[in-house]
Amino acid sequence: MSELELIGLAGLVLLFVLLALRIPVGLAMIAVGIAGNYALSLAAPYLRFEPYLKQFKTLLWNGLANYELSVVPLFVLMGYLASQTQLSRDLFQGLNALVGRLRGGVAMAAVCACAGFGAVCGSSLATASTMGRVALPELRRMRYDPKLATGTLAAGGTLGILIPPSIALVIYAIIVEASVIQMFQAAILPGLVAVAFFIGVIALQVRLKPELAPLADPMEEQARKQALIRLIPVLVIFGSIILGLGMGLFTPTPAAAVGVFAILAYGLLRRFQSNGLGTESHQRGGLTLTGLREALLQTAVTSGMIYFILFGAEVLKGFFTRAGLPTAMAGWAGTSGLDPWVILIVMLIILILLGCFMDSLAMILVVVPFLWPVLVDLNGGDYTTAATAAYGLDTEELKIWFGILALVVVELGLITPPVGLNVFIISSLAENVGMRAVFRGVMPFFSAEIVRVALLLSLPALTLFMPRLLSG
Amino acid sequence: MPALMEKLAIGWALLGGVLLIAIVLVTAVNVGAFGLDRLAGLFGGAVPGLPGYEDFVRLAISAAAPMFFPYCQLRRGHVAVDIFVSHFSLRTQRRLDRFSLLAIAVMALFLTYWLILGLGETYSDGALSRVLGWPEWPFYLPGIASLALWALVALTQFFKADAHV
Amino acid sequence: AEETITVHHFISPKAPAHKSFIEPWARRVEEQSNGRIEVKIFPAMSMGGKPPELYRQVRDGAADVVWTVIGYTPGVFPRSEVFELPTVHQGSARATNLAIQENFALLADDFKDLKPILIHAHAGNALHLRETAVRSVGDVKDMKLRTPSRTGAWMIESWNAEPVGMPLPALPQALSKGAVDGALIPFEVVLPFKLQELTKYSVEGDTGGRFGTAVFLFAMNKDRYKSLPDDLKAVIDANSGDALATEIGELWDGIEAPGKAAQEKSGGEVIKLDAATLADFDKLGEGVVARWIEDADSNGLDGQALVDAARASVAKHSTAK
Ligand code: NA
Ligand code: NA
Repeated sequence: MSELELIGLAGLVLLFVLLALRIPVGLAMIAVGIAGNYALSLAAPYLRFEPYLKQFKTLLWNGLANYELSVVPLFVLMGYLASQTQLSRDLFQGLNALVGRLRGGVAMAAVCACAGFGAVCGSSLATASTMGRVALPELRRMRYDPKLATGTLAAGGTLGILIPPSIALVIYAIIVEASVIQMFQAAILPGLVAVAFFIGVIALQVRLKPELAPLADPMEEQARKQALIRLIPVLVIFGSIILGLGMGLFTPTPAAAVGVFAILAYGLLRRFQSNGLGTESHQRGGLTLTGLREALLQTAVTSGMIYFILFGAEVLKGFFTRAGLPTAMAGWAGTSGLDPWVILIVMLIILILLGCFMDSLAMILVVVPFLWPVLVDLNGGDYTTAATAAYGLDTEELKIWFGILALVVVELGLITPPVGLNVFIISSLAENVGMRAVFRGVMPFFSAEIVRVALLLSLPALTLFMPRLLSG
Repeated sequence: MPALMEKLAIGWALLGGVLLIAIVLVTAVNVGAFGLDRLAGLFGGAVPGLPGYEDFVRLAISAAAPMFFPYCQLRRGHVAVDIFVSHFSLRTQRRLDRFSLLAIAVMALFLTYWLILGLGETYSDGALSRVLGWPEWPFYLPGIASLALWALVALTQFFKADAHV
Repeated sequence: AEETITVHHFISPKAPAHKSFIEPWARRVEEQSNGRIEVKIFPAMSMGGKPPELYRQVRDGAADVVWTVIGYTPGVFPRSEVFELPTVHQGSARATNLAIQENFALLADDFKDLKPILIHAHAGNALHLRETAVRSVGDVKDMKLRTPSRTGAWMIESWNAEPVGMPLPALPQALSKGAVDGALIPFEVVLPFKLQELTKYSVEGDTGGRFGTAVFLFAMNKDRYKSLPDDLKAVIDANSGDALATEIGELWDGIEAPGKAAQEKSGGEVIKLDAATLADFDKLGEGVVARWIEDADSNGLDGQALVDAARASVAKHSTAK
């Protein structure tokens, strides 16, 4: 191992130490990037440090002035607006009117609503907290078992990251230079499989123990009708975003912007309508000025956080690649003599373990640049053909398949004990339900997730079916 | 002082949000024109889109994105890994926290300094955007103001935390 | 080695520009210095930053040498832009490279903070179309076309079509979904981006005429160059400018053929515009040149003189092959 590679490794260790000390992720990345480059300049004088520092004149601005990344704050805004305009509530109540009378139906409606909300929201945490707020009170009112109720929402929340649009997928696509749209297309089937599995888990539980989910009384016909009518515009908006993106009618940035526009328009219309009808205040939907302000401020927090990590990752990358670390890692993996499938599974396990305490975006940004070159090398290099490749896929398809696998295991980290961010959120929303209970409630879903990972791993065609069909 | 800082950060973030909405509206017009164009195409006509749309988005987002940093700091929104530190004593935790705040302020000032040099250089180079041909240097201004404000917010939090210890 | 020189560029290490230009250049410099110079190449932005930052990195010395496109940073190299212009560039990288060498004194101010190694062009923009053939100027009206540069956007506007700016990697998706109707790029990038599968028609002049080109900058940090002992400076000099212009021009002209063949093999058509049709395009191209002259004049340059010199020189080298 060369001196530069050693410095790179030391930097990696330092990064984890700083992270463990609760230094903000973006800051830790920048600090390691700069310190690391200083160390490199000492070991290799041709990597001069002062000129390196001068890059900060333009590095940040050029990183921010990125058309492809502009989709991120727009997706974030779309999710918060949907939540502020009560689209999320309309969605859940409409679905509940459809299937709520089945045993376990309210929980199933919550899973479907999470998936639907995932279609306008790029983040799992936002999906869990929004849908938790909407569905938990209803589940409690119906006297659902608290473990089942909270487990459903913590697991359902993970759908936000996979059902397109997904911020994590956008960022993954930019790192490995994949088509964002193909990534979205690939995520559709695995996302639907997750919905089916979660519904299956609920059905199985209530069949074994019917007392977990009491049967609901029939809804008032009037209320049911209204809920169903309200479901229509919601489905139209969500459906057109998914279709527009999936069929590639729009490229991501216009799709996100049009989505925001549609939700804004719907929110204002709905507001106007509720005023006109003089409905009771708690039933009022639509977008208020306070709601808009709140959505913009929430967007500022989430986007600011994401852009800071992205910038940190850019600085860090400038250190690791100068140190030659990614290339070196690919070399070690290649000469280790381990089976490519074993290495892939080890990678996924590392991602699950890291996911227990690291933010999913930070993880993708730090870890994928190391894993991806290793995989390409193991697979047989950039220009390998499917017939001769170790994983039976060419590079483009490997990109898509690995991206989805990585994302699924990263999201698994959100509900993996002892620390799962989704579990934190749901437990804080549900009064009197502790973390331990939520984790117990989430376990059946967790098992289903493990089965799903195995399925996606053994059947790449499942992931690749939609992009092959839609993008040729 | 802290109250004023809070108002500034909020107002600044909302201004960034308004820029986002501007992107949304410009896109809506552009996509609308694209749709009309497809429709008009059926009858042999054409409706032009907005030339330089991507350029506009790029420049607008370069201004809007940094405007979110100070408010994100105000709400302590920048992610960090919590679980190891939660085992430490409260005193140690507070020290670490103050150290982070100071380090953030130093970093933000460091970036402000370089961005100001970047503005000067972009101005003297005469760098323009690709399609619209707008000069790029004015778009450094929101970033400079944002990072300076970010440093101020972090410093305010640093001194406030001081009062607690 | 006594001196280590870093080379930073934006393109994949598998691209011809890396494999057939920068790698061989590096090995030659190492050899001719008898191993006293070692050249370390960092491809695909692996020293960090975005492509538009490359010229600053070399000016500041973060990298000793960079290879970049001047079109990434419109406004920064105002004089050299003249060689991008339609009707100035004629469809041969070799001719334009030689013309650049011949008129280097006129451009020198663009690079006064650098030690230029080679300023060169690619073979020229051809028009690649998704579905609709272009056989006359009228056919291109109202199309949405990806522009390679600022002057490319002006040219597209002069055709009454709509320029769209996007990074090259985004182009395949935009083509396959109809977000653009076509793109202005050399045939060189057809193969790596599989554009033959996404486009039905490619258009150029019957004698290889093109719609402008892109100008590349291969340059060294000035102080770094000065810091070399004289005999090593001489090695760099011996691998700069005139010594490279013809070879690199022929390299770029040569990498057009596989792209053309791929388009034809995929069932697509390479449309060859006859002289009369090309003249129609050139008439609009004149308008672009006029707009460029006006813009250059407003920045205190003598636009007309630059255009005249460039044109005469390109014409001379186009015929005298
Ligand atoms: Na989503
Ligand atoms: Na073709």
